[in-house]
Amino acid sequence: MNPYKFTLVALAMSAAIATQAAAQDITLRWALHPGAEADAVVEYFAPRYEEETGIKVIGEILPANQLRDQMSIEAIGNTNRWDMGYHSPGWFGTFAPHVLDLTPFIEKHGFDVSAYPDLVVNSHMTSSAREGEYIALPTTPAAPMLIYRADWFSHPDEQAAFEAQFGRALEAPGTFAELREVAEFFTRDAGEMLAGEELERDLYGWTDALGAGVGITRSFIVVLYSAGISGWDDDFQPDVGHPIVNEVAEYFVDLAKNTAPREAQNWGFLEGLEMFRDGRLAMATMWPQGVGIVETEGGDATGNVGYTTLPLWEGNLKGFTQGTPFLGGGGVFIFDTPNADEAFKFLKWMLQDNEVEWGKRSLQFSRKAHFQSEELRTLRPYYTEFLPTFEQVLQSVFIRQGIPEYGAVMWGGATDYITDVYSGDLSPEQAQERWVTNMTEAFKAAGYLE
Amino acid sequence: MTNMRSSFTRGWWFLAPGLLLMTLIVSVPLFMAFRYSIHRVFLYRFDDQAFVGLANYLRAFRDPLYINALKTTVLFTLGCLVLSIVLGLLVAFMLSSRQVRLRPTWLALFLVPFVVTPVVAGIAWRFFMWQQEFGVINSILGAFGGPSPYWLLDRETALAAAIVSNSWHLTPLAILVFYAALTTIPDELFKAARTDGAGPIQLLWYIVLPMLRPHMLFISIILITSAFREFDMIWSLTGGGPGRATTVLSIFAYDRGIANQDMGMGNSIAFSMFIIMAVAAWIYITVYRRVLEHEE
Amino acid sequence: MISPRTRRRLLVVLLHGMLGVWLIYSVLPPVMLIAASFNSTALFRSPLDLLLLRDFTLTNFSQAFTRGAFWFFFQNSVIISSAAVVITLVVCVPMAYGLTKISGRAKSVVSFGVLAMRFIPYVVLALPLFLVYVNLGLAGSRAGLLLAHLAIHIPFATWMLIGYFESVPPELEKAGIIDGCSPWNLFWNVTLPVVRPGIIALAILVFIMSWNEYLFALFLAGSNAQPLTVGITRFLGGAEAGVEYGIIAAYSVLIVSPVIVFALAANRLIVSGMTAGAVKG
Repeated sequence: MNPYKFTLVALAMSAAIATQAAAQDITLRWALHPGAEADAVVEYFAPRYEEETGIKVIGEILPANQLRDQMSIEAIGNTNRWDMGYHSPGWFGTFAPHVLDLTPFIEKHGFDVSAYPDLVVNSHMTSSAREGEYIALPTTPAAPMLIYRADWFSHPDEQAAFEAQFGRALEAPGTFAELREVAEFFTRDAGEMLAGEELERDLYGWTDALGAGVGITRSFIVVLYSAGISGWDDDFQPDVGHPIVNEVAEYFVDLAKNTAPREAQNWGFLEGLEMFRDGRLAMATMWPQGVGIVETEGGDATGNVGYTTLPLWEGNLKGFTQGTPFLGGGGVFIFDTPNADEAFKFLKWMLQDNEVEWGKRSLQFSRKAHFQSEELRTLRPYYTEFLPTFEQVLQSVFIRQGIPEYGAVMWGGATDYITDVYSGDLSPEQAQERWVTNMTEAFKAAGYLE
Repeated sequence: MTNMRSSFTRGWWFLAPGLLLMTLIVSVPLFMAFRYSIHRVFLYRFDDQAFVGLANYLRAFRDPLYINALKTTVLFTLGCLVLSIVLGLLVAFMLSSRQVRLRPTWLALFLVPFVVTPVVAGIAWRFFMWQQEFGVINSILGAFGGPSPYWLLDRETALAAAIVSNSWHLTPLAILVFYAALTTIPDELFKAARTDGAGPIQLLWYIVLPMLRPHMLFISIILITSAFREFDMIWSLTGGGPGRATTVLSIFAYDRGIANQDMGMGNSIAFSMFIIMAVAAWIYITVYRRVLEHEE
Repeated sequence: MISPRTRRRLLVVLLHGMLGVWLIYSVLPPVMLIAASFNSTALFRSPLDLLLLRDFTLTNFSQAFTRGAFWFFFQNSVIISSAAVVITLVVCVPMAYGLTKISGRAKSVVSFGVLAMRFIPYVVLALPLFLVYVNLGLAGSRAGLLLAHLAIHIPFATWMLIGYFESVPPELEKAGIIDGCSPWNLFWNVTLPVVRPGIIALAILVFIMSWNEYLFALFLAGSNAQPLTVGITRFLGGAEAGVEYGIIAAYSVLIVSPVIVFALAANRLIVSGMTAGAVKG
């Protein structure tokens, strides 16, 4: 077979595959971030929707650390692999050309935008890159909080020991400096005592996911935003060159190395909460998606979890009065496939027509009705504490900028920076200089600067 | 005369279609890799490409991370090379002894690591061999009262662990080549040496090694090319971490090109790998020819 | 005093013992996968517990089939690997044969080219191909992924095949020419049967290479083309560690068992085929 013939055959093959896919009944494909909400889609909403309408919904759950890369690849490749995709406000750039303006659908099908708090609408539905459009629907807007073992914190032995060592009462830390002290206090080897009992395995004071890439970046950037860093100002002048960035990094590295378990370096997102559930952690930074894990029935921590906002970074640049993570979690895009209208109908059915059910199953709360619903507040014993804390977390969050470069200059920049500082491959100053240079170059290339 | 011409054209008729296809599917991406490497190509602004000359290369070479990845790649490649050759030679030498029974069966089973899917091999080593608490290696160490390190999470040990895992995958090739070569060494040679009072070690050093020189060279280049470009195994084993301890050039190119969406830089890293390998290939082929001539 | 005979026996025992240790080392990682796939809590068990199947279960496999959409990925792996084998052989067998028939400078230039292509790092092809396919509309198609595989297989296969063809005694063809064979007949009826075992071995090797391939799939496989090596990675980011490792192990076993069975069954062929290609110098 000569090469030209072969190329023709190859092209014909791919064309045949494409037409074959189009000839099938409607199937909606959705790229999902792992978590309870993804399980809820796959196990509950998709089968129910198929029963009601005959339309098949396939939720494809991708590993957290590959989701963005894979979605970029597919979007740029024009593969139409997914009709719907996970929307994280910082990731918008790469997919932007394939993301539909949802305004016509919202009007046509009567989707109620005012059901979401303004901050959520700002962050998850609109983007400065596409003024005047709604580009996504929120599904899991979320920001992390601090959880701690209330039973150990209130144990008299621990209280006395802490007071003797630090001269103040042992309570949920209000500042990051206090967090480090408490975390170090609770970091103990197997065989030592904890709340009157001998430890069978090592105990760690605090953790967040520290895995390469997404894991450590998310954990670090939460502290960085709490210190009042935005990335750049209105004139696109980077502020990541500020000395506070290195202060935060040194603090973070110290905390992570001395109080978090080594296994955390394998974790991308929520994996570490199982260790909290099993009674091997005193505190953890927890995204709300994880509450089901730490309160698993029969777990060591169940019923003993204390919830509070992230601590304050003293001397932060913006005068925050509590820890201020970015508003993360996500929503759902609709891509420019022939199934767009059907995809929107499905989402509206799930998020609006079944709003309380969505909250209940996905363990995600973002619509006003979720916080007002008596049914939800009393659904599980721990919701009475967890829900108000989460409502308070959402009062002070950073809304990420919607420019296409965000992923590269801020998220990717933070990944490089903290990876190299954490590993010691570069000094904080070197890594910082690199970050500022790359950001400036990217802004120049994009025409924002000079 | 006609005979010669017909034999000449006959060969080309068989050769041409494949040659064309091969040239096409290898040189097009290669050319495009070079083209992208001298352009500004960001995935998030894919339609906005501009010629930038060698700027991507300069950016890469000035980046300490590139130097680090290059260093890691060289260490990884040399580590795999040495380990696979030494172990492969020892095993092949033992296996080639006349006293060993069922030699083909042994050889068949020794080949298993080579056919195991590298991604899966990485998973197996990560979760069940190197794992800190319940992994096989730490369990064995623990039984002898040894320490239980975090092999893959420690910067000091991660690269070594990756080298061991990858050598596990590559050694069967070395065993196969050396074994095949050893079986061609005539028995009389060994017998003569033994009557002269040589032990196994002397046999290996003075008789076997010199005879295996061309095979050694041959397997070296196979191992070097394979280890130099390795991606799958490291990707599923450590993902390039902890930090950048196992970020070899292949992974670094992916990291810049896809994760950081900077395809210009990604392609310039990849193309620099190609150039390094091209030089290695040239050296190898020259040396190989010389050794063969020398042998003949 | 140990008699020389006992000493030799001891040596034989020692030899087998050392080979046994190497055998255990060689097969332990896949054996651990098999063991873990049949236990319900794969990672919270010591290796011995796993090997003794203390927590025996089959649910990992049913989970791998259902939640892992196993058949979808399996289908892609089979189609791409088989197509790669067929096309590689159709293209390379004549090509390698032709190469042994041309002479002089052209031959050494072409052989050098074939050899040189084996040195190309895969990522150098994968990164640009990803963008090239975007422009050609081949992104995410089986055909595109297949083409990328061929870029690896064709130089490899041609190189191996040259070795086989060169080992065919020239007297055979001379006899054919005297009998008045056409060039095609000579190739098809005289030379090809001699190298058939080598070609079968090569076919198996190419199949295994395609089956095991991950890098290209990561870059180039879209909705229709994902093979099993991509399928398994969807479990790697899972949150429920204790449960998931069993499924990962089961999935791994499902991926590698075809190639291992294949390799063991056709072992003699592979060994002789690879050595013929390898030792020829």
